[in-house]
Amino acid sequence: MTLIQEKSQNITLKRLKALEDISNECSNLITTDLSTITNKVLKPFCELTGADYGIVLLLSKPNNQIYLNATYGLPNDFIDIFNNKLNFKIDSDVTFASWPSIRSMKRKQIILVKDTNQINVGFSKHFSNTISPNTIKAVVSVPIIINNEAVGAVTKYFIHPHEFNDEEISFVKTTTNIFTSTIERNQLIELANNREQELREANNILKTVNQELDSFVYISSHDLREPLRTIESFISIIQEKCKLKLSDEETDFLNRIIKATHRMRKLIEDLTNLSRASRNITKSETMDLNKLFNEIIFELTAFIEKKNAEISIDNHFPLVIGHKEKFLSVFKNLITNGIKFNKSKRPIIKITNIPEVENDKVCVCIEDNGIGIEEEYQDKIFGLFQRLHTEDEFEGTGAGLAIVKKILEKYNCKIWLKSSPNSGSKFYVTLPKAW
Amino acid sequence: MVIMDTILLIEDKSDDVLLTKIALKELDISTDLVVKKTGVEAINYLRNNISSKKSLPKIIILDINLPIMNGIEILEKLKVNNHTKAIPIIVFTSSDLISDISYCYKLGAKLFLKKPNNINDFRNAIRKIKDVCLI
Repeated sequence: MTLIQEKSQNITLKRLKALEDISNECSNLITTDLSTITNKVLKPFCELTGADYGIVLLLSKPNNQIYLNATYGLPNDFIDIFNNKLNFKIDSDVTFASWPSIRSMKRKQIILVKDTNQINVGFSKHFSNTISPNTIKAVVSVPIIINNEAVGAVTKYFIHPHEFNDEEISFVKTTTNIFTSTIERNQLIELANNREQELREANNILKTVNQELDSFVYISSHDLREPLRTIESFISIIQEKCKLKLSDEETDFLNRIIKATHRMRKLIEDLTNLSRASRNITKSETMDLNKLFNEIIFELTAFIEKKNAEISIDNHFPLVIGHKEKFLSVFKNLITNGIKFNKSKRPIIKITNIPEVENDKVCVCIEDNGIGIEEEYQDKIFGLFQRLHTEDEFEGTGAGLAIVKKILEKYNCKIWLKSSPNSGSKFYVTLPKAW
Repeated sequence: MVIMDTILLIEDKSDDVLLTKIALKELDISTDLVVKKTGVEAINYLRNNISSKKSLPKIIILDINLPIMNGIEILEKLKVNNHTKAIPIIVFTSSDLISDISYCYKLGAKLFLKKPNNINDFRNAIRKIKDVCLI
């Protein structure tokens, strides 16, 4: 092996080692500060090719401004001087178009200048003040391409004419590739971080708006009750005093007003209940669901008897944790619905425990033999004041399931259903399991 | 001259004042109903009575939802004042918050009544006030 061969092999080994080092460093590098990356790459990149100076130019979006990001072999304040003095955009000035860095970015390919005596290279002239008496003789510039778009260039300068062999070009390309993928990865990380931050902020805004909306509903529902109470009170006086004086038609009109006030009262009460659904849930207690169901059945005794309904309950439910009044409201709504939306002579409600649906949750199924719900309406029924039937057919405001859903959501719990017309419905509810 | 007992009604809603008057009349309760729309007006009235050594109302009927000073604040003030703390106070309001109810009783309210939405229940409420306070 000749001395030259040995020397060249040595350089190749060094370059391979440098590639390995750069690759290792870059893969562990999680930073959104690009100059950290560029400085790490630029130094070995220049040293191992014998370059005298090196720069990394980057394109800043969205204004297409070109700025100097890192240097090798140049004075420390060069970056600031360059960026302050040369405020230019990639397409703005013809003088810069001949610079190797700009050319490589525009053409999206590597630019090699072996000897500037043969070719006029604009960029080297710009350096002359800083690096005098040396003048640039050779340049290699590799574009940084991300998503098929040049976002910058890594450029090295030699003060002597330089022959670039294949191995050296390959080293330069590979280094730039590592560099590119590091920038790409870090941009993705930054994007993900930004998205996460945006999402968090959006979530906070949403929370505030929701709370405001809850307060609004609560306050307005209270304020709406006041004038309604006045209307009801004075109508009751008219009703009492004029009972015998009114014609049948007038009595009918009065009854319609009274009926409308009752309905408005019910709507306002439901609004109040909806706004209360997510209030004061902090007071948690462990509950036996069997006891809870029996309490509801006791409360609904008259209704159950009137409808000739039958309710069966599984013997053992795991204990749940939460606010008792809220859970009472959930099941009272579901049981009442099962009996109400039911045309059978004997409405049957089955309350069963569905084991192992979610690890930390208890799942309860409330099954009825009622009218059922068509699949296309199954999402709708959880909307506020959403009704699928006329008031004459089934009375109610249509707020029940919206309230149920809101309560459950506050506990990170769910409600869903399986149903089809005329074959009953199964409502599934999850509740926090007590440990 | 018949000396009537005075009832102080602290209420800003004229509709409720009228309903109270109707119910009192229908129940044949003859009383001198003094109406004050805010806590400040009511306290000034009581203060004047005290300083001029006039008699104080036999009962105070108090709404909660009042401008500037709410009923609970008024109740607190009246119950710490030596001249007024013995006057039975009826809280008569449209609020049905359990926290309001229990707090009013804790402060020393004689009775907490929810405002009804028909004249019959209104009469019953006034009758109840009459029974409790032996007008």
